[in-house]
Amino acid sequence: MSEPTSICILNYGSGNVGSVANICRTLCDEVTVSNAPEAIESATHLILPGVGAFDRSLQKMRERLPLELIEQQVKIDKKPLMGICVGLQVLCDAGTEGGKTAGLGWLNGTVERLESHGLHLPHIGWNTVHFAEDSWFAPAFAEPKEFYFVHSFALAKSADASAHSDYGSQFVAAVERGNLFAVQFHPEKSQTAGRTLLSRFLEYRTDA
Amino acid sequence: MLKKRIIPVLLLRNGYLVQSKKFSKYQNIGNAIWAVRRMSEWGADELIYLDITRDGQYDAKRDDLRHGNPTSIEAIVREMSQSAFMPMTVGGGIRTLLDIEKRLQWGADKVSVNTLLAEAPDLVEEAAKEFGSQCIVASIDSKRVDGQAIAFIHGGQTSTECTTLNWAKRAEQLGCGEVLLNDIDADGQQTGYNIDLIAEVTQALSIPVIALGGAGEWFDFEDVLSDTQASAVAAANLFHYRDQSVYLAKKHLFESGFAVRKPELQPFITK
Repeated sequence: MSEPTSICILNYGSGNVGSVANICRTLCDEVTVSNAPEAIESATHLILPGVGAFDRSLQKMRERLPLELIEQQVKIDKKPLMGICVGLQVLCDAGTEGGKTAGLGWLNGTVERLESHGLHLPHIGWNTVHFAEDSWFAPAFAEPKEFYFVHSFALAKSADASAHSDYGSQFVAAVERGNLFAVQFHPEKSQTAGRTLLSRFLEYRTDA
Repeated sequence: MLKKRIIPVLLLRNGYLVQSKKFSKYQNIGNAIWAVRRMSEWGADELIYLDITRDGQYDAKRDDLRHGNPTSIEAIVREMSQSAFMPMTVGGGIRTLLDIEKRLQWGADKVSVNTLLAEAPDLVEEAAKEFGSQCIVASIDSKRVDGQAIAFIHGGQTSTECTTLNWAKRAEQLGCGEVLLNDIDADGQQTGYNIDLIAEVTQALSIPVIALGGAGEWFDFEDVLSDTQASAVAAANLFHYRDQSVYLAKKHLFESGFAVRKPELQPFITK
């Protein structure tokens, strides 16, 4: 029998960790907001939230998070991690917000300003997300579903893309590489759709 | 595709939910916490709370207790953030960066600033850099003076002597990520939105605009969505008097072919 699900939400001072923790608590009894190595090691699932600019967020992460431990947990121990919004962006190869900056490079692609072709920016509101057939989330979303977005930058393309959305042009709404998941939208602000997505994320178990 | 948002606005005055007419008459319409729960359950796309208390005092001396105890913005935002899981904007009385930080910590996603745009534009600029543009909404109250739309501050009491259009452009330059455009003349009149003004402002800005003021029936939303580039329609009074109002408004628009999120009731989850 596998151990009970527990979530550790990483807090580097640039995320709406409170909102993410609140929705997680409706899905799971064990939710901690912490950067402590013990908390990260004992959790079954990690979440990396994010609000704000790419360069600033990345800088804060490098200062405050035990990135080597997290990398080992994700890449070697195959612990599931989900990045949200800027938490998606910093996991990619590079970003161009605040000057071109290298990201962590765990996921493929460069985060650039949205090609909105004259539509208002930031891209704020509920937009339809189309999951690829082989996405981990596809079984939970047979029909395309709306999620809440707030951003001006995104991946135009990525070898790891698992969902897309459109705003003036197509962009990547979610990426996946094995146990590593990331979404450009905010599941914690997407009512029932967001809860369904997080619940599906928690179904991914390394020990299953 | 990006959907047009339908946003209920909750006006709080001295801790009570109120209805407003032309920014000068206020009627107490009930308990704020219950109201926000309803709006959430009916599938609102977002919520905006504006604290329009003038003296900063929560009136606990009311003898009319029919509507229960007064509620602070803090209590509402905390409550909603624990169970509603939807975007929330909080405005009213914001004067410092700490005021903004506090509201974000309670669980707000965005804050709206109005008078601050006039009194401390440098602070607005700093806030946009510190918390991100997406987080700072410029709340602009417009009123016709000699046939021209002029931006007002101090809850509609003081003219900026600047046209609403230029005031909005300035807000964008300061780094605001969105504009909440309210028309004082239309407030509480149920005569429809100020379409010309909304069209003019949305055309000129590159950031999204939320239209507010004047909604009397669902058809009024249609005019905004058909004739302007507004990203969202907001209303206050209209949403408080009918059961499932937000749901019904969205259903009407959805069935009429407008690009709104499919109407769905959202269960209120308590842990």
